Amino acid sequence: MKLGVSPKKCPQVVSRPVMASEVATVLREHPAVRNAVACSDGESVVAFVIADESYIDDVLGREGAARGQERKWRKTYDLTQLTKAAAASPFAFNIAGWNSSYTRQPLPPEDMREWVQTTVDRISTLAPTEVLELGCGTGLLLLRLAPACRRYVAVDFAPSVLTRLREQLAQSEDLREKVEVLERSANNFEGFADNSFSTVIVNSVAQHFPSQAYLNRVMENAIRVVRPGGHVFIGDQRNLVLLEAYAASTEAFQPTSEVSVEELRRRIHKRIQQEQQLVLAPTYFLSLQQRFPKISRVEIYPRRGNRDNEMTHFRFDAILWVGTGSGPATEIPFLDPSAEGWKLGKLRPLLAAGKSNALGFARIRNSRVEGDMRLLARLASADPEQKFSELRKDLDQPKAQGIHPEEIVRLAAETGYKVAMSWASCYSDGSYAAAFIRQRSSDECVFPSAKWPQPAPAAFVYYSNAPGQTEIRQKFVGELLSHCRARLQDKIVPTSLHLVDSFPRGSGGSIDCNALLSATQRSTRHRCV
Amino acid sequence: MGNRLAIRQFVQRLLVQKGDQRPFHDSDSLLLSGRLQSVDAVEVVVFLEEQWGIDFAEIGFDESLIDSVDAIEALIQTAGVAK
Repeated sequence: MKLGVSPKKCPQVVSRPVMASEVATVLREHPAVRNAVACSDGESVVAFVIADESYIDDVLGREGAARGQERKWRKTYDLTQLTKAAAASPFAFNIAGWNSSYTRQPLPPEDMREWVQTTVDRISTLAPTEVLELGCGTGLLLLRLAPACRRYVAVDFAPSVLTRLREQLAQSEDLREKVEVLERSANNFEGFADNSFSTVIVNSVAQHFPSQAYLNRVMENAIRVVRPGGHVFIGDQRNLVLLEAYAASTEAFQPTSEVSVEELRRRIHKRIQQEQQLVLAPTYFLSLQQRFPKISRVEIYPRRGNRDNEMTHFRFDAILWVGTGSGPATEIPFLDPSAEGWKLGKLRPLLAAGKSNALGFARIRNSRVEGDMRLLARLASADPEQKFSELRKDLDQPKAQGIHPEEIVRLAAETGYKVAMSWASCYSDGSYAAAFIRQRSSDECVFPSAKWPQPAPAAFVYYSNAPGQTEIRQKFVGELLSHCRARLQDKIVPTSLHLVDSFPRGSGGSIDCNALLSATQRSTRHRCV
Repeated sequence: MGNRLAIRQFVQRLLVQKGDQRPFHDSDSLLLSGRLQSVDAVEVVVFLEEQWGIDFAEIGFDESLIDSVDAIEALIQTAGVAK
């Protein structure tokens, strides 16, 4: 039975707002739809749905698939500790299993040393005292952070990994007393009381969570167990904004001399489609502040480090400040660059003049990834039949115009400023913003707090990819479209339907259809539905 | 069914699941070449544990041990548990 206006009674021309409203109303009647909106793209009606995640878990079977995925990751990590490399690891530096996506070989120890040190440095500035670390692995962070803590609870789901960790803990009486090791999944918070930790650490772990819904449960509990004044540190998180650049970068690195542009595009698309890890947008963490009043501040930092690798290029650290204590964000005037972008030579005199106590720079082109952005742009415009090796000649020319984040840190030190860099603005080309605040000896704050330039509304449409869920989500979209066909006139059945994570709002508070349409058009490259 | 055929069929299924229809020789690298990923290695390991009782906790693990059909067959024979 169709619940829409019957064709006989229907006027020949139905206004688009009326059509869209009717579509959204019908979609909201479906038990798995938490909210729906329909927009017209001029030709047709496009529907957007925020799904009830429990329906996808329970009815469509994602929960069962997630358990299978978790078993696979557990086995993967267990296997890394059965290798000769793991057995031969020095104390506190067991990096077995840390392989490059480019070479598939172990990451250079120098890269891993820097990765460990920059992470430990960042967490140490939060002054953790009682820590819960989810996914502690072999203790790369624990063995460096725990000595300064009163209590450290380390959780991991891989028994072989924990065996290695316990072997190392056995060498230190101090650590044996204050460290508790638990074999369990990251979403198991049984026995952890509210406000019982100063810091929850989830470092380089969330990408192995099976879904955003799983991460939501972890975040909800992490925020619950952190006391006011504490922090949730989500480190080394892969950035959805740069997923396509990452895929292009890794695929172009493979032997491609005889590969056509079209074939390389296909491989990049396939890599994104078959991505098995959860890749998150910074806006996921920004949105948590609306959902959890206990969060007073969210910062999204590009990774620190001079080494060139996938962690420094494509990953970020998110820190959630729980309760009050971070102080009000400084109102910093952010300057936009001219067409050629910021250059160190332009920034230095502005800072060295010393006239400003606080100065911000928006859209600093990121030299770490600008080559990858150039690659994407050339692939988009090149003749599909052209050999990639011919394109590569142009791309290999050094044309660095951006600024390396570590150069910004050095500039701040030279000119007497503290600096924070942020990816919270979600610039699609990997650019970042930097806030310089004049150094005062009395000022203890090591994390300058600034009101960063806001992300574009489209950045809030997707908070993550949906690894391993292509079939489930396609089935769900089919079910929703059938639901529409059974209830609407044919001509107003949506031509396409997208599962999204939120509906961005315009300045007036209404849903921003343009942002939805542009985000979903772009995302066809990395989201099936 | 011989070991080699069983291994080939299993590997072929993994490749097809990933949309890789290209032919492969018994000596072709699967993991180190990137045709299969580390999570696929887990599938191979579970297959060997279940079908031939190979205990990696005992013999240790290295991706090169299961990098090709030839390597997998040699591993089964070395472990002395060939059917």
